[in-house]
Amino acid sequence: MSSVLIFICFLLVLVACDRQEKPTKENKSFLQIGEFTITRESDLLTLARDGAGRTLALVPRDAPAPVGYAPSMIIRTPVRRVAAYGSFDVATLRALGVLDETLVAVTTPRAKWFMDDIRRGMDSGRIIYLGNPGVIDYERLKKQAPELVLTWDPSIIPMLDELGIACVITSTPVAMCLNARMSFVKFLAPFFQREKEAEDFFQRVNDSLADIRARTAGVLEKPKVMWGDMYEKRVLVEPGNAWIGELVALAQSGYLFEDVYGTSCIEISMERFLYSGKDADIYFTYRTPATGASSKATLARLNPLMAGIKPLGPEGKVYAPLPHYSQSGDKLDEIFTELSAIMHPELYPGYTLKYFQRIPDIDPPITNRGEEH
Amino acid sequence: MKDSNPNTQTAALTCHNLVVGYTDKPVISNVNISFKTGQFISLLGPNGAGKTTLLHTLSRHQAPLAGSIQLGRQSLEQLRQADLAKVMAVVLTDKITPPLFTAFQFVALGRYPHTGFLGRLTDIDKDVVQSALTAVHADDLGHRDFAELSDGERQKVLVARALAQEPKILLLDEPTAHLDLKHRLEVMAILRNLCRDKGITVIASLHDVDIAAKVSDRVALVKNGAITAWGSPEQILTSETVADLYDFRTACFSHHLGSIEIRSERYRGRAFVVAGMGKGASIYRMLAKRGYGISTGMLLSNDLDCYVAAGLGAKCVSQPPGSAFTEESRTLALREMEASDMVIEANYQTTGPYQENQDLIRRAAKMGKPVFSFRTASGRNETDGIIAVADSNKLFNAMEVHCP
Amino acid sequence: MNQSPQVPTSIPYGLQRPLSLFAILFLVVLTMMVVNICTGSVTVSLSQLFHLIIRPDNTTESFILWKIRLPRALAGLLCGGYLAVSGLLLQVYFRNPVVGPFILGISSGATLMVSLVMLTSLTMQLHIITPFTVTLAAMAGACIVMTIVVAIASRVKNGITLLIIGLMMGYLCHAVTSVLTALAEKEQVKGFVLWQLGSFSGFKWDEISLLLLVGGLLLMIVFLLAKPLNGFLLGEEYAKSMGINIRLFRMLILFLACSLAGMITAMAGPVAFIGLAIPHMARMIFSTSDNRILIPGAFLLGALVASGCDFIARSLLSPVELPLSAITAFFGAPVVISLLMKKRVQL
Repeated sequence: MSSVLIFICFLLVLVACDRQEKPTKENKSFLQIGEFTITRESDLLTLARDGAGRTLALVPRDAPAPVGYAPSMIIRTPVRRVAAYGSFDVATLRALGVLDETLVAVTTPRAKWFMDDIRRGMDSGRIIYLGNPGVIDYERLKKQAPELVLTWDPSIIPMLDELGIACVITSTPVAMCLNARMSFVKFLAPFFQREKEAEDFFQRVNDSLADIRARTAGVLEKPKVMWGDMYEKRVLVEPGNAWIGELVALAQSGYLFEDVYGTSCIEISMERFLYSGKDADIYFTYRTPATGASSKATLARLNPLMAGIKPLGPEGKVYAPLPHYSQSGDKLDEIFTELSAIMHPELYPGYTLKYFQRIPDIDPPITNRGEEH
Repeated sequence: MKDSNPNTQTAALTCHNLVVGYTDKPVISNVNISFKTGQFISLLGPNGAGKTTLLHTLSRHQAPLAGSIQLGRQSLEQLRQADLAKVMAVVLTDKITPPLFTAFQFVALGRYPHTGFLGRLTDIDKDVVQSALTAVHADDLGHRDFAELSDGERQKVLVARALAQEPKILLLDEPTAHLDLKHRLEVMAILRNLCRDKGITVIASLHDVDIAAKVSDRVALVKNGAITAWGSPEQILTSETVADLYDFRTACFSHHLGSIEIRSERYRGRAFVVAGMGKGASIYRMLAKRGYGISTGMLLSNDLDCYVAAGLGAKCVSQPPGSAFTEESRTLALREMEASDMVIEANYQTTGPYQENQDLIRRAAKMGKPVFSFRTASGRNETDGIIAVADSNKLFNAMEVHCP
Repeated sequence: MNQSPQVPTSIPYGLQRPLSLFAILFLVVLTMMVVNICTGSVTVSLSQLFHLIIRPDNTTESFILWKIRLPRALAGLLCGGYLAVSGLLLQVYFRNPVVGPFILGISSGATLMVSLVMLTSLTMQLHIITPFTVTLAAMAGACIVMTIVVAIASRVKNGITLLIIGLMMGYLCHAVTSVLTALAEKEQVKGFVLWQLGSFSGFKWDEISLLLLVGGLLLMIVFLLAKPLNGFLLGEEYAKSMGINIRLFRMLILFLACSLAGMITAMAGPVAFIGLAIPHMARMIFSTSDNRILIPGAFLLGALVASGCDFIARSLLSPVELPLSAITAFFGAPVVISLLMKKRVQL
């Protein structure tokens, strides 16, 4: 019947979401980082393929324009003015050391930034707020005149073409694996001619991973980790192909959703969440205490069916990210180390948490109209 | 059985000083009519006169602006909706999205006021439905899908549905619009029979004056916000009243014939027709249709051709039967003939009162006017100046040739 | 429940046909429910399931069976059935084949209230987080819209006017929701977007009881109104002439349809397509417009299709859950089209 045919098409569409891991290879002229590639054709031309499969031509300022590329796809390097949507992109700019000089526009208001350099930039007027990522103010953008926009939203490309601003899609169809996350800095490096800084950053992170591997080798206790969120009737998890899955494995621990494949924040069935949760020792949430993950009791009350998972009981631990966590993409080495310290506290005596917080069993009592201890 | 004398029946529905219309806008005022049991009442009038509004007010779909309506001895307003449904049923012009029912199931919907919870049909209900179908000559349609019926069949089934309610009063809004002639006549006959056999009062708004005249017991002429006339069609429907009702300019309702004649625009010339014995009627109509002015003579005033000619507004020279044609008639006829562009002999008689018309023919031929005749070969031949035609088609071909 | 019109034997549509169809449907629905209970992203063997049904214990498997799978299976049945009946009611009332349970803005109103709860920090500031916060908010939103709709229906005669007003209210609620979405945190939006896609996941036994009791009562009243509903098939004027109290009936029908739809939306979120397509499927399968057959028929069919789609949504990429509304539309639309083409029925 016709429905069967349509089903098959549906399945094909789903399968088309690429299920293959793209390894990171590095040789002199070709670099692949997950969905992104950098191909150095010559001294005068580097090709970058972004998360949407678009090929951009990176050309030094004084070089002639290459033939065969649309003007909107040609980017003059080093880029001097850049607008960035995602906090991970902003952090990568910081990692490359170009943030203070090049970042001119963001899509998060000042009140929600926890990074001093951004705040200072916004206070001084160098960095402006473009409005919500779904609907940025194109007039402001035009006035600010960046040369490049780093975004996840391909729908703004036509508008940017009209304004004559180049665009790079920095999101991927699937969650970024560990290598891609670490190496992403190498993707943005050619845009700013900061390959060396990228290498240094990568090395730093690599070193931290090696340290984790070394410290946790031979550890006897292998905690089980889950990362996700619970709502009133639905549950989301971070899939196994995301960087956290690999990191957990690296730290001699078990990621309970290793077999789940997909994009970030993917919905799974409650029975699986519960079943895996029964074994979990550590549970990381997406939400911060301010946005709903304030205590174990609150989470349990929110979704009583999932209250039976181990971390919400006395034996387990629940960690929520601190507000600046999502804006600290340049501190991957410290974040990875901290995660390892959370998984194996005995190996990191005296470690103080900087990016996560352990949430209490019950909400702290309220005094003075909403102030909490 | 049922009292079929329209003059002695009881009043089923009575209107006292009724004013119908919409808020602030009266459409018909001063309605004081009594509809008696078993009567067939037609509401006639031009579009927009308010017939539908009146029907909707009688069926309590709309409230009257003033006045009252009595149903038997009770006031119409006071009846409960469910009780009213047991005595009054309607057939409206509303477009129906055909539901997936057989005709039987559709008619069975009409049993609504009589069935109990969930509308289960008892044997009595089923009998009523079947006899309703029989009454509308739709016995064999019962098992067919309602959606597949033709317009005529659907209309009959709609009437059957209303009948299944076992009403005493049946209100129909333009029941014969969109129907072909066969079904139009059939529906009207069915409705007339309902009045006679079942004593149902039928109030219908109609457009066909001629058909209405033939089946109604009473007609109400609705125009300009009032009932301009009320009574039996034989008295009310004259050519003047009908022409006035519909603002006829080129048509005429022939009271005697009970039909509407369409008059000629008279832009082509004039024809003189020698007729009689009813043979001229169709010729007159054809001439009128083609735009010729018509004169005719000499005729006896009891001849059908006289009535048709009068309906068509033709100049007719006639006299009462019983004596030979007078000199006055002959002179008039001759004058008319001379004023015409052509002469058509529709009736050829060598005996009887009409033989005198032969004189007109001879004179016309001598005058050189084109003379067309239907007489057969046993009559005179062509050298006499008469053009023989076999039928009316050939007549008009010949007319085109000889009188362009 | 199986009250069919008793027609004379000379007519082919005898009593047999609807009854046997009901029996078949009922069996298939039961089968679907069993399948839903036996399958899931956590493998539980059939023998284990059997044991746990008879004697539940404290294991995770028992919890999954009794607290997650059973409620979800029942929710799928009931929600699907009620939505189908709600859609049927509105299609008969408006005499319009493209009308669904959410045409009058019910789901938009519910969505607006849920967005207030999920996208703002209102509930947190008021410290009213309960396991039913979202459900109650959605219910409140649906009730408010329903009250407005019924109030307008008592005054407005024209069906089209009511439809347009409902549509406009829907747009209004949607507009406010969009603003809230734009201003909210990313994590909150994620949860809200999930809710908007509808799901039978996470039902609790309290909610199932509510569905059974309140929904059952509403369904019973709907069935008792089958006779005037049939009268309504010909339009309001004919219905009035047959003795139906139009004003009362109008308000009652809208109240019932909106209550059913609102209840489902409150608990499962907006589940698309079921209310729109199932009445058509029921009409085509049973070949009748008789609501005494269609009401139970649509209920059973709705239960079946909703359960089936839920099964697909959670099994196709298990343990990942696909959006329910996408599956219902994906599956149902071609089925309706093919049924239409085969029968060449004009609706």
